Amino acid sequence: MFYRPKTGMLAWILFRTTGILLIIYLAMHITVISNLHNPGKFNETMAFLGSWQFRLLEIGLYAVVIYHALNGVRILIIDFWKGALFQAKMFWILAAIGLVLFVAGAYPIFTHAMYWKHNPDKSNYHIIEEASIAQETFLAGWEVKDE
Amino acid sequence: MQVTFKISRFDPQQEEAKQHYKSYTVQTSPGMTVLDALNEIKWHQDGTLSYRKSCRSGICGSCAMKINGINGLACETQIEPMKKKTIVLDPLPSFEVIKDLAVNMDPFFEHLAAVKPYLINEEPPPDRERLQSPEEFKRISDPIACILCMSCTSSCPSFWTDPEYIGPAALYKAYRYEFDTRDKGSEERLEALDNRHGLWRCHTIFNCMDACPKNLKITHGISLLKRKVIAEKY
Repeated sequence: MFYRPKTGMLAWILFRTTGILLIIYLAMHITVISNLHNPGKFNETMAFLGSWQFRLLEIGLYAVVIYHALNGVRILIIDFWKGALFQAKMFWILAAIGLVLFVAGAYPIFTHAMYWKHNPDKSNYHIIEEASIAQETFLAGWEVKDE
Repeated sequence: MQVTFKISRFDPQQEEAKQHYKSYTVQTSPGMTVLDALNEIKWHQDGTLSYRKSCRSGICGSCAMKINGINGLACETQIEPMKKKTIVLDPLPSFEVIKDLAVNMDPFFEHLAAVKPYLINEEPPPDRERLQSPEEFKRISDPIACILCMSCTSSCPSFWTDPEYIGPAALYKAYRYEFDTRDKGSEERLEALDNRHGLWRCHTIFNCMDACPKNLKITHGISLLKRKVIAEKY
């Protein structure tokens, strides 16, 4: 069944879509974080996720988060103030704010990704390795202290 | 200007009755409405076409239908300002089609009755009318203009997926009585409003406000009602 979407319906469809995407991302995020108890495996996963291609995907995640957050603000204004009377105008104002935030945040993510792409030898794998050594040292110290 | 009308047809008496589209060409003139074109088709081209109509001036709410993908009154929609060579007419979405553009309105009125759309006040009637100040009346003057055309309820995606949802029209009617200073029936109405097929099914999609031929502030009324129920009950 076709129904011509106007601003309100468009906002709602995007809100639901970004909500589902965020739930999927959250599940993936928890899976990755659950590797923390195994430093070796965590490093492996992080080396994979730290690749420049994944860094570019983070721009998409950033866009999804911005849209979902700003439309959430719009719904708060609708539900708790008289936002229902100017919801379409509000959508486009927030879209402009969202675009500025997106450019401001996506630019550094993009330049970082390009840096890793052109300097693969400086991949953050080493940084993670150092961090993991530091973590192991710390944990070792903790155990000693515990005794 | 020649305009082609692609009209959804459905005849329940035909064997293997199936919804399909049939096209008609109408010579339009300035000021001609979609309802005028439908009359032109029914009176001069195809007498089997069925649709509801009555006042042809946007008061009775009979001729609501989906015009080019968006709900509205056929009698209030002028053809030439739309600047379209083809106009697609469908019955109101998510209601059972009786024939062509006429739908079964029973579920709509059942939902409306559920919110008790009348004054509930057990106090003995005073000697004269129950008075309201102009400010008090102003709060309910908007929903009073509702003509019950079903454009809003059938445009609501929440209603498409949940036919038990009482819909924006019934909720706005509830708002009209809940915010009436003379009404004391809040508790009786709460039953129909405060459940999963009631108030909380509204996800502020605004299709109702976009479709409303009377430009009523439906979603705003529903959000005021939500706040009232939260303040009183929770």
